[in-house]
Amino acid sequence: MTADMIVCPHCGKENFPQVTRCVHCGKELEELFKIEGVEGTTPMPSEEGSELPEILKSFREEERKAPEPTEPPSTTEEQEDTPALIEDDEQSPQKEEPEVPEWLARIRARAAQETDATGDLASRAGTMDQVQSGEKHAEIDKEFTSWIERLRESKQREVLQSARKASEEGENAEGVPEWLQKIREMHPEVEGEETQPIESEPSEESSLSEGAAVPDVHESKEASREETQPLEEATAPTPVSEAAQPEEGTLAEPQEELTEEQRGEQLETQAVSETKKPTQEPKAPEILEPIIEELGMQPEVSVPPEESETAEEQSVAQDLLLLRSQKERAEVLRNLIAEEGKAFPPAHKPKSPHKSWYRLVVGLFLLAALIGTLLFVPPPTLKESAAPAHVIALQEVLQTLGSGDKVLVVLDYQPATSRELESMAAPVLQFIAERGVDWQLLVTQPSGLWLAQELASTAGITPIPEVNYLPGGGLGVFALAIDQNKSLPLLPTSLSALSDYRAILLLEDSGSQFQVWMEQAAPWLGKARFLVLIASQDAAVVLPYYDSGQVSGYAAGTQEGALTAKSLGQQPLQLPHERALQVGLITMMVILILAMITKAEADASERRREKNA
Amino acid sequence: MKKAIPILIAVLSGLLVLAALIWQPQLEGWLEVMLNWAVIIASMAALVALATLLLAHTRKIIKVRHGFIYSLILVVAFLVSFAGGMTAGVENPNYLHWIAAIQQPAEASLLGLAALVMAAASLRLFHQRGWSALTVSFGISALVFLMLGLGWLQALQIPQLDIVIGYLEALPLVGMRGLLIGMGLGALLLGFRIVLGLERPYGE
Amino acid sequence: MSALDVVLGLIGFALTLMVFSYLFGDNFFFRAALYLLVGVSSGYIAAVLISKVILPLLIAPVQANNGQFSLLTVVPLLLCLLLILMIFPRTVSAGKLPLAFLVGVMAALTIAGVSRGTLAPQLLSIINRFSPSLVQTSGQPVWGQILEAVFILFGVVAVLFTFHHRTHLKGDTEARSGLVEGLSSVGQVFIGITFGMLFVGFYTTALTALIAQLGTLKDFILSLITG
Repeated sequence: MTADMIVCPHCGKENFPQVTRCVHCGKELEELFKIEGVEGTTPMPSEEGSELPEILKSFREEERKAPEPTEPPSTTEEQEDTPALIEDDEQSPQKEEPEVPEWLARIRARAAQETDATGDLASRAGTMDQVQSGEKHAEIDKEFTSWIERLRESKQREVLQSARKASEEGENAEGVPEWLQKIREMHPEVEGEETQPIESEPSEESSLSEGAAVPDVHESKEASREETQPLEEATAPTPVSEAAQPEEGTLAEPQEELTEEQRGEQLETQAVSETKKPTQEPKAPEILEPIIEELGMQPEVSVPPEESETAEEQSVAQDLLLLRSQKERAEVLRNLIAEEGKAFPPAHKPKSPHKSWYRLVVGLFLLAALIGTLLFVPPPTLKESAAPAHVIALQEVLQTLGSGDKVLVVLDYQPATSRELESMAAPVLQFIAERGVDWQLLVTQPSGLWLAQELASTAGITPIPEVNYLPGGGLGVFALAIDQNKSLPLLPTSLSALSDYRAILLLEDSGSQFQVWMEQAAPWLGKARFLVLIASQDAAVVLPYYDSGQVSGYAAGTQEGALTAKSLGQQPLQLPHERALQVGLITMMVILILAMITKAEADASERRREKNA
Repeated sequence: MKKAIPILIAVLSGLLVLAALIWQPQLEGWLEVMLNWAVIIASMAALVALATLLLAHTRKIIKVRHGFIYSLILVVAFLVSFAGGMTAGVENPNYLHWIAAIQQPAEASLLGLAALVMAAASLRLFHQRGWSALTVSFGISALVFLMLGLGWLQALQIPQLDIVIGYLEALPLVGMRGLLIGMGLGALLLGFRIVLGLERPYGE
Repeated sequence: MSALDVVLGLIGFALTLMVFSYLFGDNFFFRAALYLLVGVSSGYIAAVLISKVILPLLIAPVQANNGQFSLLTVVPLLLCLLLILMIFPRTVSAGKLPLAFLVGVMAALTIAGVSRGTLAPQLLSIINRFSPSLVQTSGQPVWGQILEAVFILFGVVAVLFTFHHRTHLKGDTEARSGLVEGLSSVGQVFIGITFGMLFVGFYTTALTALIAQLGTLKDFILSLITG
């Protein structure tokens, strides 16, 4: 479990950060992708830069500034490149409100609420900011301009490339865009003045915005870029992706991922920050005016400079905060897409203590019952009962075996079930040995080498017959079935071809191994060849094969094995556990009945509770 | 090209075996050769798996990770039984006696433990799975077969009861047949996908 | 009882107790018994595979040819060497070739075996129940046989429909059609009956193993006491 769990706004429960739907209530975690404070608005606006004009509008509304500077010719193309922005701008005079947009106001209000949480950080951040204010404001300015650049790029990449070419032509030797150079020429003191409202007015809001922004001062070069990524990706994912990629994961090494233009801007900004002079009057709107005009938007209401500067700084920082949160959410979305198709890590389920209790109590009870039965209850005599049809069929086939007939006994079981199968197989081996049948032993498991010896000693057969080992599992069985000429080196040399045997007696404890013989060997030998002694657990698997005639007869479990032995005139191996087996079966019956009763009781009480409620 | 070679080998070997099964007299020799190679490779693959297991536990011992004592037990037991088998021979009665003395009680006890755990788990069966056609039929069927397993009804030797018992014991035939056909179709489809190169369980 | 029998009996007794200690929860003794079993079994299997398969089938042919390599001996040798390289992380992809060969052969055998050994006989068995020799005698239908044949056919089809997962949109949700749902419910009943039998069968086998092991321990303790 990571520390970054998301709390569902609907049911309040925790979810993994990668999910888009709450795993408890099933509702979408829309808030994850919504802008805080902007309810009812689409998180990813369909129109490119539709948010931008509103932000710029807010700047314009708060600060009115000097007349517009003349536009450089190179920017004309960039104006044409942004028809959407122009359209928005044309609409903006109608939509424009003299006040701050509602969504922005909500954002600021929420930021104000969070002031306490970041107060200490903010005060320290304010101090840091005072020390690094010059750098920071230049960086904010650069971030803003680069943000606008990216918006243009996302809208129409080709036009922007030509625009870049045009701007490159207009660039000076240092690679500074002409329009930015002009801005700086017009307002050389603005960058320094911009810093002052933050330095001189450490209001709660400003300190908050600074405090929130400053911890990321090391990342500030990338922060604004990354913050604008969600917007860019929303407006035009494909063109933006290439632009966004340089910014991805560049917190540690931002400069390596910058595009050429951004690198140039960064260097230029650093140069500017070193040479700027602090001024008394911040004139950010003046910087923005030419930019706004480049975008083709009309300058709007002017705002008193001093108030507007402070508010502008605050709104810029808060908006950067907003965009930063958008960036984080976009990163989460990216991670979610990257994790698509991958399996979730298994949730750690704490062990329920109830399970241990049940297991201990029931296990000890059953053990005690079995031990008590073994110690104090005498073994019962075998009762006469009608044998099932398949046992009768097995007995009939065995009765037809005579001297000289070849029988292959295949030992294909594990040590765990050896007692059960030995009790079934030993009487049958004694019978065919008495009949003078020529029988051979074949094992397919490595443990069969010593199980064969135990079986022979249980059956009282001496000398112990040669044990033939067949490697390869199903491959070996198939090879044995098709190799009529005994030319395969992997086959035991003393074995005959399978078709030479009158009957093949399988001693099985696994349904899947039994199926291997039915699928790899039986089709090559024809019907009426296979006799099966199988453990109780796989009696159901043999049933269809017996019904279809692929198995001549079979016995499953010690009871049917005892019936088979009796029908062959052999003394069944009476392991003294018949009573204990019955005790175990009765215990399971009681447990199942109890389980049904308790479940019915629980359902009834729940229904009563719901009725009362 | 590198990725295509294993696919090509799988497809060719599968098609060759299928062709040999159809035209067995003509291609019997090739089939036997391929079977021989396949058995050797399968055995070597099992040995490689065992070696990987051993290496993993050896690394755990060297780095003294949590639970390394269990790895130590495993590695020591492996080395002793392997050395004993290679020196004395895998058919040596005394060697097999020792192997049996450890394998038989441990495996039988594990299977017996499964019976105890099953009994405990049955108590919570319906609470966890709820009531459905599957669980109700499972519960009733289990009770019936437990009753039949006691052998008391068969011991009564009432002919009509024996007929009913016969039908009850044959009832799982329907479900088992359906399951076998379903599993067989799935296995057939998977086999065709491998032979046609659409499925690559050996790695891309 | 010889000393060896006593020692082996004590080992078996100790292992049994260690395994049953799981009733009290996962603990050191249970895990130690498991790891011991795995270690002994894997060492034994490795020894058997090397002495029964690798040496006689891979190494001996080369030695028999006095070190001369033929195509029939060099190909499996190379493939086995590639498999051995899988042990090392850097060369793990070398094992793709022999594994691809093995998978191809086994897939072909599965196709042939499943179709001839399971599908065809089982389907024929369903159809053969409708054969005229069974469903009629002297021109008169044997209703018992007919009902049985129809019952089995219907049951098998219902079981197969239980695994049918194709859905279509029903309003806002995807759901199977009514017929498929109904057949699936019937199929679940048949599957439940089969699972009940399998459950009882497995429980009986496990119980038999448990009782046999307890009986062995009882005999061993009694023999120790009586000498």
